[in-house]
Amino acid sequence: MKIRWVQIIGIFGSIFCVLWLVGLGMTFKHYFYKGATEVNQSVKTEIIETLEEPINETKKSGYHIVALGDSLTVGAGDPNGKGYVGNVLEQLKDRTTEEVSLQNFAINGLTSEGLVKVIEERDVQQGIKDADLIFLTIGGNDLFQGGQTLVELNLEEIAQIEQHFLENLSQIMSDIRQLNGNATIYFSGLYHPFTHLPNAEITTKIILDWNHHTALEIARYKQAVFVPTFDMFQNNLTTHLSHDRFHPSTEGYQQMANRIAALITWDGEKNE
Amino acid sequence: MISLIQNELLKLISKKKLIVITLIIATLISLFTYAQFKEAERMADRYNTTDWRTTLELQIADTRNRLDGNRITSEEWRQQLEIRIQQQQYYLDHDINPLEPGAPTFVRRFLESSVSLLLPLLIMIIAADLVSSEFSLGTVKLLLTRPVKRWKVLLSKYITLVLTVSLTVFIFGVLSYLISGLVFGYQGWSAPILLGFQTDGGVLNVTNVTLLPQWQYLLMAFGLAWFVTLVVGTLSFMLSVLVKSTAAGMGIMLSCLISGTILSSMVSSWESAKYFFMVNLNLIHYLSGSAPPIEGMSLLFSFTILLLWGIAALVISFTTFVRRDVF
Repeated sequence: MKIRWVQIIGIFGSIFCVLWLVGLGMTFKHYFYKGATEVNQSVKTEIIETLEEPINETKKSGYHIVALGDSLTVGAGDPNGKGYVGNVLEQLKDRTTEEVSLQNFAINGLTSEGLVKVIEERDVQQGIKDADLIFLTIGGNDLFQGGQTLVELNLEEIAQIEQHFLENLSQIMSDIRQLNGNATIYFSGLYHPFTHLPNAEITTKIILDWNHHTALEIARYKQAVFVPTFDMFQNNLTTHLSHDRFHPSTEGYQQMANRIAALITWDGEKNE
Repeated sequence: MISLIQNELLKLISKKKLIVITLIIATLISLFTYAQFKEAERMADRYNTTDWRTTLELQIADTRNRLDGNRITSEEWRQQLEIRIQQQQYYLDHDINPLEPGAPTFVRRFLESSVSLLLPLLIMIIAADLVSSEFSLGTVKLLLTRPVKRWKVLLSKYITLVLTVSLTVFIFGVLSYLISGLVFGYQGWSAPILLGFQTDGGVLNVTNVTLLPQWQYLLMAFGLAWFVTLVVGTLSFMLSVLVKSTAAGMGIMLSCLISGTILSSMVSSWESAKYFFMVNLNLIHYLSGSAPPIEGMSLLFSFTILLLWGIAALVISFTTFVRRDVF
C-alpha cells in the first residue's frame, strides 16, 4: 500500500518538477526576448498599470481625516482647543481599533476665496489624496465679515456675496473630488449667532437661504454630506456660543461633532 | 539510488506530513475564498451594479470630467489620469473585465500573495527535519552503516525534497482552483493578463507591456513560485544538516522569513540589504510590475541572488554531512 504511494509521489513529483521548470523557462524567455517579439506592439502603447490596481488601491491601513476651512474647523472658541474636529476624532477612535489620523489645514478667518488657494498647496493636495474623510466648514467669514454685513443690511450686496461664495464652493468641491474621488466630505452649514440683533427675521431668512443654496451645491457631488447646524444653535445660543458670542462653545462644538460622528459609517467598526 | 529515494519517500509518507500540508492549504483557501467572495459582494454593492461595463463607463466619464475641468495643475497627475482612461477604454474595447472573477484569477492572486511567506513556510514543515530527525532519533547510524556513500544518502534526501516541493506547489494550485471554483466558477483560463511593467526611477515604463492568456501567466508564476519554494526548502535543508535540533532549525528559518516580510517594507534606503535572500522572495511581483522593495532589483537580480544562496546552502550541506563525525 505504502509502496504504491511512494510510486505515485515519485512519478507525479517528477512530472510537476518538469512542468514548473517549463514555467520558469517561459518566464525567462518572456523576460529576455520581449524586445524581439513585436506581436503585441499595438497593444503595448495602449495599456498601462496592472490589473490588480482597482482592488489594491484602498488597501492602506487606518483612516485618515483631513479638515479644511475656517475658524470653526480650527476650533476657535473652544477652551479645550479641540473644536468639533477633535471631538469627532475622539469618537471615531473609540469606535474602531484601527488607527485614525488627522491633518487639520483650517485657518482662522478664512473665506471661500482663501480656501480655493489653500487647496492649491502641495501638502494640502497630498493630504486630500490620502484622506478617507474630509471635514469642511466655509462661508461664515464671507457672509458675516466680522458682523458688518448683517448690521448694515444690504440685500443686493448679500446676494452678490452669496453668488461669489457659491462659485468658490463649486470650485472647492470639484477640486477636492478631482484629488480624491472616494473620501466622504462632511460640510457643516452655518448657524445664526446674531438672533438677538434687530432684523432677526430678515437675517434668519438670509442664513437659511444661504444654507439651502450651499446644500444644493454640495448635493451635486457624490459622497458629500451637508450637515445642518442651524437648528442646534437656534434656541441654545447662551450655552452653545463661546464668550465672543460668535464661535461655538465647548458644548456647541460637542453637538456639532455628535451630529457628524453619527453620520459616519465605515467598515472598520468594532461592533460590526 | 532509486531504492534510497524510495526509502526516503516511505519515511515521508509514514510521517503523514504531506497530508498535514494539504489540510493546511485546504483550510486557508476556504477562508480566503470566503473573504474574496465577501469583497466582491461589497464592490458590487458599492457601485450599485454588478455590470462591470457600466462601472467602467462611469469611471471613464468621471475621469474625463476631471481632465476637462482644467483644474489639474501638475502635468504628472494629468498624464496618469489619461493613462487610466486609455487602460479602461482598452478593457471596454476588448471586452475584458478588469476584475474578472473566476477560479484562475483567484489562484493567480492567491499565489502572488503567498509566494513570499505561506509556501516557504509549508515546505519548511518538510525540509526542516529531513536530516536532523535522523540525528535526534538516532537512526542516522543505521543509515550510514549501509554500504552506500554518504553523499548519496544526502542526495536521495534532497531529491525527495525536490519531488515534494514540486508536488506541494501542484497541490497548492489544484486545491485553490477547485475550492475557489465552487464559488467563482471555473472559467477564465484565457483571460488576458498584462505584464512587462517596469519602473525606472519611479516612472512606469510601459514600452515592454505584453498581453498573455491567463493560463500561460499562471504557468510562469507557478514556475517562479516553485523556484522560490525550492530555494527556501534548500536553506531549511541546510539548517537541518547543521543544527541537530529540528525546533532550532525551524525557528531560525521562520525568523528569517518573517524578517524578510518586515524588511521588504522598510529597507528601501538600505541598499545592501538586497543581497539577503528573504527580500528577494517575491519574484512574481516582477511579472505584474509592482515596484521592488529596493531600487535596482530586477527579476534577474533576485533570481541570481536566490540561486547563489541555494547553491551555497547545498555546498555547505554536502561538505558538512560528508565530513561530520557520527557517534
